[in-house]
Amino acid sequence: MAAKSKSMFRVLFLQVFAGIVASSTQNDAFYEELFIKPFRSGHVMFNFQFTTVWNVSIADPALFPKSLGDVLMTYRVQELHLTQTKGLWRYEKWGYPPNDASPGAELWVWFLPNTEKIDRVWADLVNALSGLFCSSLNFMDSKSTIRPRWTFRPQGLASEGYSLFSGLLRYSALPNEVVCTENLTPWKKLLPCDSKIGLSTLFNASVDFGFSLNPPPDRVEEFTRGHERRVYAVYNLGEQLDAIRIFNLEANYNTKPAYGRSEPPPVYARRYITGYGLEKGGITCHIYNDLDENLTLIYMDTIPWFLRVYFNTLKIENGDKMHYIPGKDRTRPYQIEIVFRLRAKSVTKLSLSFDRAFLKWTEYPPDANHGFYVNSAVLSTVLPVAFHYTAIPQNVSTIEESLNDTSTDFFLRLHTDTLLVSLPTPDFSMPYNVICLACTVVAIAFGSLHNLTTRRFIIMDPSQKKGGPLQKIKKFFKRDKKSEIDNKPNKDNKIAHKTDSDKDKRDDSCIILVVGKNNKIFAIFIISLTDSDMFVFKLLLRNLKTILTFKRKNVEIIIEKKKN
Amino acid sequence: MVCRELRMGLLSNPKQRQKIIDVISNYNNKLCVLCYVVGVVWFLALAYSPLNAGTYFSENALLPGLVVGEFQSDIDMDAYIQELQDELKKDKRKIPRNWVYKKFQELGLDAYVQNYTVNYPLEITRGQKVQGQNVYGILQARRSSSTEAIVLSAPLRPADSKLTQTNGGIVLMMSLAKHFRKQTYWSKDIIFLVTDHEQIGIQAWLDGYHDIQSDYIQPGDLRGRSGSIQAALNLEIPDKNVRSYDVKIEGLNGQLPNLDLFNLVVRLCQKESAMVTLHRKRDAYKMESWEGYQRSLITMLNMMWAQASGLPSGNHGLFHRYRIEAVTLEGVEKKRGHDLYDLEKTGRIVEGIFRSLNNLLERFHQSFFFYVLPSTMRYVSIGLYMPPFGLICAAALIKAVALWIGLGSQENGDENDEKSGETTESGNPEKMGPSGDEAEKHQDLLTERKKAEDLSKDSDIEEDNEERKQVEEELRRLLEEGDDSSSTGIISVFPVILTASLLGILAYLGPEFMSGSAKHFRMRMEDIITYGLMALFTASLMFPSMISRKNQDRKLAFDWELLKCIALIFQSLFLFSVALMNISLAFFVAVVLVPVTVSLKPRQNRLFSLLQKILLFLVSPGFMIFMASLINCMLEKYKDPLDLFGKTWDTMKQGLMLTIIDKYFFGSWMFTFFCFAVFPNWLLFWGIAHCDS
Repeated sequence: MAAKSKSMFRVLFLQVFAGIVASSTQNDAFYEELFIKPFRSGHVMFNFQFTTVWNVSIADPALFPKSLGDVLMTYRVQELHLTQTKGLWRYEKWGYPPNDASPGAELWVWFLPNTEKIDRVWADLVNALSGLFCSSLNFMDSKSTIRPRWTFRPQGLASEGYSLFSGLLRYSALPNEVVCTENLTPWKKLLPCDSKIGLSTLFNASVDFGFSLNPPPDRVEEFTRGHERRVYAVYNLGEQLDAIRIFNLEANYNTKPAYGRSEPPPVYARRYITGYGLEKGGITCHIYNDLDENLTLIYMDTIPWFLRVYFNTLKIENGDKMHYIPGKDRTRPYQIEIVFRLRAKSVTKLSLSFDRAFLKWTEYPPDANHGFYVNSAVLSTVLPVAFHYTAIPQNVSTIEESLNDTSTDFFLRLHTDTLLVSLPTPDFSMPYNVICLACTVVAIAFGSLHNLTTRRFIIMDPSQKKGGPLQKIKKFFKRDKKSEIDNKPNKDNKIAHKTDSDKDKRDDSCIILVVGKNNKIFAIFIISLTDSDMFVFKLLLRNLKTILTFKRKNVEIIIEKKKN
Repeated sequence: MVCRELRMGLLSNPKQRQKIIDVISNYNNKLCVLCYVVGVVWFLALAYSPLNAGTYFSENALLPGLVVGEFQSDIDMDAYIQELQDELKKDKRKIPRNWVYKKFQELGLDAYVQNYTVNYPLEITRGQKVQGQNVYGILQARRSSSTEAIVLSAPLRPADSKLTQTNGGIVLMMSLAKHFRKQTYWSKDIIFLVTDHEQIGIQAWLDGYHDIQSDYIQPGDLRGRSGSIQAALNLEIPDKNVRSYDVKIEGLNGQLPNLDLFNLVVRLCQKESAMVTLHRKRDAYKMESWEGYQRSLITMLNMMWAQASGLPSGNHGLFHRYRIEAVTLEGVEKKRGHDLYDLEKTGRIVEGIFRSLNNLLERFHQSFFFYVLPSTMRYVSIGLYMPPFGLICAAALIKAVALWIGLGSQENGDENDEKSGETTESGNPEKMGPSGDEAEKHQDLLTERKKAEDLSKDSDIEEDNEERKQVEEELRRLLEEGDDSSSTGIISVFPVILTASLLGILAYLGPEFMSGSAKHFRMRMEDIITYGLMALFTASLMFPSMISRKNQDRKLAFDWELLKCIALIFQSLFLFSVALMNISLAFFVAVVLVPVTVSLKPRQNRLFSLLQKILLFLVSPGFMIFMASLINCMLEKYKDPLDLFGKTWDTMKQGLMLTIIDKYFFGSWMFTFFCFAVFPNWLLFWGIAHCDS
């Protein structure tokens, strides 16, 4: 595990390496190393490496941080790799970094054999780590977690056959979880001396590194790594600091530096989104091989479920072995792992297309919407040359040990660019408009429905149309006459008609008595035309004269006998 | 009865609907005139400042002008300009790409060259391919992982180019690159892009960046890339004597950038107390005065005129399709005197714009995408301009509905309920038209009928009904006398519609056929296409005689009312659809077309008929294009009539050619729109004008 910090200053022209060693009684050893490398682009890399080597269990730590040790023990972790990064490593300009990482947070874990319910354990582990490192690692849920088959191998010692079963491995990355100063503090706390002494005192984001090569280095050494000669100026800070408390390093250029493009490394890749619009799109990855020989490479890509990948559109030269797990909406991402050969001096183009899915409105993140991030793809290969190669080989743990390396195989892991994809997004800033519109529609529909259900339907004579104001006046007078007629006690009329015209007296009901011969009432219609309902109540009565009162709310019918 | 009403009007009042129908059928002519006049006046009145709104920032993340401009050139810009001019002088046609590339590299940008091939359509270049190169440099932001980018672009023009030179912009770009590189606050990559071949270069670069293959512009691979592009600013700044800044917004197919971006540019120019104009027109001092209104109106019409052309007014116009908001900032040269604004001032404006864009958290989405600008500080949003435009189109729709009602009553005559009786009565002022003496008879009948109706109000219903029946039967008999039974119904108008659409397709495919024959005639391609399309247009004027039936004395007879109804609805449909994307185009076409098409009907009087045909010819697509060219030339102030005509002719040829080429290169739909919508629709009306019924 190594903390990594990239800062860019145009100071040095030599590769500088400084180290501090501390050891405890239990044979544990702690190394602090700083590796400085200037680039032709004018940037300088500072690589801090803090290494703890322990020989006893991490349950009883002397130098190893207990908080992390507890987590590793509880969740039965065999190997844990966590990187948090800000910015993007530019391979073309700077070659290969000592530790490769994707932008954002990346976590991959090998669990101990016989761990049960690994998915559950993974979820718990991720939550524990997010607390420990003050970052939102808990978003590494099933929607973004995969089990790569070939790309990630155990890097430490493990029993034979252990790595055959990739079910023990979990990999996840969060491209938009960038590192910031609040993440640096938990990192520092893992160190035996915190940031109180040692190289970690330089871990202040605002400190201006006053390095210069003014005090001559302890020794200038030449190492070869894979037939490549490298010159290092080595300082042993422990000895330097005995004499003086403050150590300054200064470098001066002999000639005015000119920016130039350094030779790109043998293998690198660029990945980008293709197409435009919000319906379809594609991902294309160019993999460059500048070597004179073929290379076998593993390409691994995790694509979130909301980019629905068409597997049949995957195009690649020399595709060889493939491991593809299609994604499932809202549960798991698309996982692609391909093994193929890069031809000598070639550019391999890998492309696939996808549909952009519609998200549910709750699935959009609550923050400002730039778009959605897609993890970087991971490329793994073994290089035959060490050109631009600075990583530490697997059999040693400190930078110093890695300087002299006569092997001819160099394992390389690359991370491509993360991508930003825009999905069809409703304008959340204007829900007000939507509410207004919806309410208007409802009001219109409701209003007319309400109007319809509560309207009184009256049979009208079509010949008597409503006309202009004159007609209305005429009608007004007519109506008055009519009501007068109605009010007259009628003897001959067989129908006592009480219309609704006298609205003031209306008790929300109207009674029609149908009087038959011999003054017998044979039907009473009680028609109640209230605001909300209309029903006809019919009664048949014989040999009775009744007075009926009908109340709207509590229906009661009072029948009184009366003598003729 | 209750049931029927329920069925008919669940959500609407059937009586009210009947009322509307009555109103439409009775007063449709007056309504049409009213709608049109009110619509046009209202639309033009929108330029008056109390009727529109002041611009404001919707996206508060932009925080314009919050930071103090720090830009001071580190490089000697005058020396750079001199160097560039020397490079340009070496070869008048060549573009000093290598010089730009070298400078980008020296400044510490990741410089790249994109090679592309242009394969001209229609064999304009006789199959020869044109090569082009774009140079661009990427400044990588330290704080982010290259997921987002902003573009600063400038066209590189050879010394003999007729367009204004852009050396100032290119040198300024370099100076800014040097300044920007030292800053730590960038959260988005900045791409400095210098393009070749004007818009083709930009299109090639955008296609290359998004990995889109096309037949005509073949973009080469881009070696360097950044993330998704959020916004772009195109600079057209001459090296000296900048008098004012002009902001150009109109993009391909009339697409506009988000209003926030436009506001940002205007606001930052003002912050540097620089004069900013729109279409070279300054804002009025007193907006609410009559002079202020005139100025605003002229600016608005200028802006709409540019938008209606569908051609991008600058290199920014091609970004819009990729959902990248972009504008062009043009420095307007002063002829005499010392320069008012030096490049450093321009630099501070650009710096301010880029720092604001750098603050953006989301893509531009807050402010308006559909608007019309009467000045740099006022805008007319879609909500304001749609109602008057709707009124203009409503004139055509009302007429169409009135015709439809008339047709409906004709068919439903047998049912003979009172409704149909009413509509027959009212929907027929049109129908009465065909012949003079018949019209008189009808008039008599109408008055008779009115009397009868008046009487019927007091008399019995049965009596009324009987009388009505009689009147209606007589009416129908009279109508049927004049009508040929075979010239009614959808079948009769079908050949006309079919021919018109076929002619439209022919016009669309025409240029490709014509280009094949260019070799034999040894003519220039633009001449071939202009004359070819003119020939096609002239031929299509003969189309009524093409489809007239031979057996009836070469008479063209069909149900013209039905056809007019269909044509008017089609016209309204395409006008409304275009209005949603390019309001200016829709407005101008509607203003010209609607009055002529609505008032159109077959006329018996020869003089009227001829006048009508002339009027219709004046609004034909062919003549419209000519008029548009004429107006364009008049705007450029050619005084001499002969000179003006010659220039108009050239402009028309070039315009046609450009429109067609843009269709192939950029996917402009102007030509398609005219071929499949305006032209066939106009032919339908041309057919109606020649109808002999």
